[in-house]
Amino acid sequence: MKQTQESEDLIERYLLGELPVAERIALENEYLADKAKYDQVCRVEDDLLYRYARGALSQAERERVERQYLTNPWRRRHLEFAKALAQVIDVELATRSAAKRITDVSWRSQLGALPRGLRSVLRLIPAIAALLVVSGGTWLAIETSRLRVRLREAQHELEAQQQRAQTQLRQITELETQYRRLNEEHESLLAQLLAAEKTGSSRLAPVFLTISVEAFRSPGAQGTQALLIPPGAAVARLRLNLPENVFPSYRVTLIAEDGSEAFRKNGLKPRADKAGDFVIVNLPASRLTNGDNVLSLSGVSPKGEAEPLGKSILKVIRQ
Amino acid sequence: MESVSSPEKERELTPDAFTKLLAKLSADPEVAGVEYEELRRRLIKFFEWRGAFFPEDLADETLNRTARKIDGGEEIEKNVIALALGVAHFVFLETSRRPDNRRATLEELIPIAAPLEHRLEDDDLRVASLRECLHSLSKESRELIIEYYGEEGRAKIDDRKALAEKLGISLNALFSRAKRIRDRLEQCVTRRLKRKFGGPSVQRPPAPKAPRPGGDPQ
Repeated sequence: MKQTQESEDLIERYLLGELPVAERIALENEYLADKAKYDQVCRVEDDLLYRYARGALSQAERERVERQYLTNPWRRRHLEFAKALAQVIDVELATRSAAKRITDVSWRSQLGALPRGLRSVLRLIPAIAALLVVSGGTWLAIETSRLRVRLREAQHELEAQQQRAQTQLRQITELETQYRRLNEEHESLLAQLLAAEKTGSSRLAPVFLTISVEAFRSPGAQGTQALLIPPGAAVARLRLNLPENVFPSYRVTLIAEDGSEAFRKNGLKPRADKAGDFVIVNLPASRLTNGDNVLSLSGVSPKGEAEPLGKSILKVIRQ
Repeated sequence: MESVSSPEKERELTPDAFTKLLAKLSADPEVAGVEYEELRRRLIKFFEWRGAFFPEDLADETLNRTARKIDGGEEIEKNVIALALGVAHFVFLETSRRPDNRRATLEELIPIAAPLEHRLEDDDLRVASLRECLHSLSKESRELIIEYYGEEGRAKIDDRKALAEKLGISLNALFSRAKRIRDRLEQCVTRRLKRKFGGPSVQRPPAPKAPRPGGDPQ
């Protein structure tokens, strides 16, 4: 039973063009050579189309069927036929059911008790009534079936609209979150700006310092670099020269006195000018302590692996 | 679109080649004819499920080429069906590679408003034609098709089992019967719509002139 279900699922995926090439060819070879298999594929297709026609598929399944069957006139014809067949059979069954209800009413027993002349007149009444009810029933069945098809279509359209509305709602929520975050950042920056202005200095321009990568490779070889931070400076911008630029990006870490990371900047892209390759890193002045600060430089490979290039001591003098 | 017009197709299929193909299918000419039609039906579905626009033409071309190969003395490794299958894969590959058979994605197409009213009229016409076709069937066939497709879900499975038992046949045999009647109905509807609209919904190029055993079964 389970095997049959798996086999039918595989066939359904084949009919919907979702099988990998190897499995598709294997199935084709099988059904072309084996009549029973061919019949099974036909039966699965027939069931699939009929379930589609009766609106028994989920929205996702309907879309998968439509993608395969509505884009090809030959296959589309089968789908349209299945819809028509479902409609006609609904009408047939409804008509029969109506006709059966009429014949179930026994008029004969009541007729027996009436005079002969009246009986023959009355005999015509049920026939006319039956005719009217059958015609009315047929018309009603046709209309019901037609309305049922329209209702199914409207339901599917409603489902699609609800899905679209949900997606839009999600997008709006995401945008609102993003907006709130940006607003907070904006307010934080504004607060920093105001705080800086309060210190009485308008010198928010960054402090520049150039360090060669050699300073990282052999710390102390070029002497300790000194960085003078004037009051009110918010950022120290360091230029790290790279005589050998072999990594797509770099990472700079500021290590605190206790060995913990005080600040880290990833994804620093190397640039080049006449003086050679370099990266620029902006360090928040607030993270730099008065005295010796340790900077660590690493190269980051395309796979994201970091290779330490060395450490350098930066002497910070706050004014 | 994908009709086959290779130089090979231009070559006429000789009655000799065709007879040799039939002989490979069965020693009994009558059985061979049935086998040929069965193989053709499966090939049509093969091309249809592959998404071909004119599966009948491709199936006929496959059979013509298979017959020519047999006539040309080609070694048959397994059986004719395996040979035809190889040819069918090649025919499909050949036609799908042709530039005029390129499919565009929906995004590439210019949206055109569909004439909805016309479609609804088409649907009504299809339903009306189907009703006429259904009533032109024999009573047994009509009852079988209505009972076969009458229910949904679990009830459908149970009803089909009961119907197969009533007829004294297996479920597979019941499906085969229902499918034959359903196919006849679909052909009947297509013919009626064709007469009403003055042409088929799928325009086909002229079919290749291959001799067919016992004429057209349709």
